[in-house]
Amino acid sequence: MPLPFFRFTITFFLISFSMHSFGSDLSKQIIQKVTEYKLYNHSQWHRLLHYKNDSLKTDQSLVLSPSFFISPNGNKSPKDELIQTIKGFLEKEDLDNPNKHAQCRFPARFLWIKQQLSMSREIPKVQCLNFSKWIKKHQADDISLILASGYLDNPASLYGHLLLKLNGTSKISPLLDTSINFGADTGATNNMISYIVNGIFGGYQGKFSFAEFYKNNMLYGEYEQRDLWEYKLNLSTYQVNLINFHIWELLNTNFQYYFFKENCALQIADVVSIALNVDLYNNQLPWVMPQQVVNALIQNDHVQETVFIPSRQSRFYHKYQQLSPDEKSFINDYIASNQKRVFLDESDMEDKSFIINTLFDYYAYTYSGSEYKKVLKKNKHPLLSVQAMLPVVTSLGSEPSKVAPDESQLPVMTRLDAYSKSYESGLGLEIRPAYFDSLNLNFGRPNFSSLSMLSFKLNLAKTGAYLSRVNLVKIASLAPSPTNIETDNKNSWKVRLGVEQSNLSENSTLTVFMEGSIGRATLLTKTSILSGFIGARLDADDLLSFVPSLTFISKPSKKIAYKFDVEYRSTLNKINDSHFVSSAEMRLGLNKEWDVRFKAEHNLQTKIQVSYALFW
Amino acid sequence: MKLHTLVASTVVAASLLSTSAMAQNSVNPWKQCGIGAMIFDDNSTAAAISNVIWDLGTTAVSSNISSQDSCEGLGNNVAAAEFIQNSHAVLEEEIVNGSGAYLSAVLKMFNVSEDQMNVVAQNVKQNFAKVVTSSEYENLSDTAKAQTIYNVMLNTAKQA
Repeated sequence: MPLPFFRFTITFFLISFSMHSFGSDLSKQIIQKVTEYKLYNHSQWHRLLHYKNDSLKTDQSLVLSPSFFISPNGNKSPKDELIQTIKGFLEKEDLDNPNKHAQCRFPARFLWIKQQLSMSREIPKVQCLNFSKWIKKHQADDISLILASGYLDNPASLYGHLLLKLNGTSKISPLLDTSINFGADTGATNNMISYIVNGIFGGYQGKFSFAEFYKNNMLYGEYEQRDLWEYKLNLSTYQVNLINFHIWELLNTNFQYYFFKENCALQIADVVSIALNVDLYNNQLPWVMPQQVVNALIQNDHVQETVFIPSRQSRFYHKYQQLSPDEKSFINDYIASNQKRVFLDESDMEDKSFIINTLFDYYAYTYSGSEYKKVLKKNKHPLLSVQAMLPVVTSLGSEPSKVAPDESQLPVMTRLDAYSKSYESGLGLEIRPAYFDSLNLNFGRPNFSSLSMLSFKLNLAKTGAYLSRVNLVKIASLAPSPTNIETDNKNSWKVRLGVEQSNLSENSTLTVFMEGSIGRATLLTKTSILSGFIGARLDADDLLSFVPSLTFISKPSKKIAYKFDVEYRSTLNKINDSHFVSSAEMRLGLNKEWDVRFKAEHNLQTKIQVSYALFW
Repeated sequence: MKLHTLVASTVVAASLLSTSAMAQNSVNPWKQCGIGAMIFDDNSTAAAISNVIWDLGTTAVSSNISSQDSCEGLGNNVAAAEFIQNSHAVLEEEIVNGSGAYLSAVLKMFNVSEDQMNVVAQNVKQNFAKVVTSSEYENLSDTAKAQTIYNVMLNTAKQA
């Protein structure tokens, strides 16, 4: 039944009814109508209760806390919960403890039901002191979704993080606006194995928490060097209130935490979708990523503005690029100097404040975290002392800008290829659930790096179909510095773990393998990189190989990118098996949803292939 | 807090604040509102403000300091103290610059109006210059630095 007719019916009913009867009779009549028109099946009601219906859970709420439900069956029966909720809303106020009234405990449900039934005069007025105090402090004018970019140095942060910002909650500064996080309650243990196992397999419970936004800004931007992207959402006042009120309902509410699915991305998306009443991820897939939620919001036109909040590292590189060669040289010399204060005092730099602020950024980003204090005295104090005596800084030039991550190619890939080897031709199918490779259009991600999990490739030849590769994990973190500061050049590294044919020869069989390499990467131009690695490979045949490698990647424009890779696989216990493995690959296409690639590779045999990929 | 940092803190505070300043700041939010309990002198501020281990949602940031009973009625000064404690590394840079979002936020918490902002920020810069150019400042612990910044800013704001 169309909702407007339902609403009209209920409104008419209430007006006529309220003239004749009150109390429990009113409750019965409303419930009868609500049941008749099956309001409990409304998708927004299910969203308010965090119900999920997928292959593993059928019509069950993700909320674990009994206090989140009024009905004993509330986590399984949206009908029972709606009936009990309406009864609760119509109960008389308990003057001794008004905060326990259903209207006070569930203000978002109250708002939604009132809107659905267009009722107001018939409902008892309740003084919700605790909620009123809370909402006065956390009432938003509008709401932003914040995406913290992922970074490869922490396995837990590969895919980024999502949080909400309640704009306008502080009249003093946006830095003090309330932000909403969802996180696992990991306790005080420091055991990394325990974190991994519990995080992946549901050993932790998750909770929502709130804090001033500056704490997130400090954590991500100052300490972890992760850019933030603020997506200001297109929401009506009613929708803002619905989210705002629902956050109150979620305080002290527990969920099961699963790293790959029931994570921050899913929970934050679920809160936003209560107001929008749209799905922001595919619930049938076994994972949810922050980027997918952002993309869904943009595709559905729910984002009105995107704001880049740069990390210290981004701010440092942006300032450094604006320096003259002499100023860059000055910075290098200052960092190397043992007499920093003297060095500063004697310098005749024109814009000393700009240079000092560039150095502030350099030290803050390079020595963030626990290392910071060790170098603080020696390096930062002279800068503070000198800057304190200089005139007030009115401008530090332009702010950094970057293309937003939602412009990147989408994270899930299906690639079809046609290949030819000397002894076989055929078709290939590769599935990569996540996330990106070095030739993708990468924005808000490390541009030349790659991150892939649980990808696999099937080949179909005349002899039949066979599995040629499974990458459980494949990460290449290439960290070239755009500066020529020696201490700014970090190590790059590669890790790969899976099952593959160890070479392209006809008699090659699948083998379990593990590879790890460490090296350095250097920018040859702004768009090309050369990296060198030394590493080792261990496979199931007990073959330990020494694998030095070189990789050249160039991305001269958004439409084209290419990569050359050469590796010498020196097998330590089978000298005669040592050989070169090389490949050349080119990507064509300027689209988030597809690309075309040409690839040639040699590993005892040569293979050429052309492929077409869909990203979704 | 280690003894030498306590001594250094005392020396800096005593030498740099006006005689009336300490009397005006009769409330110490670090002692009365539990801020000190959150801070681990030998760890980074990041460790103190968050327990991030798993991303995709383990940013379980807590912010219950200002709700403690001992802080009731102290208004924005407690929030300012917590803010300074967590962001003093950024704040000291903005103070010596004489401008910045963190600096403005604290001054607003100390009831400095938009009209007065630039003048007060410049005064804070001048007063802090006396602190930061002393050799004692660089030897202070993070908490002692935060308290020093708090006192300089509060007293400068009060004089506006």
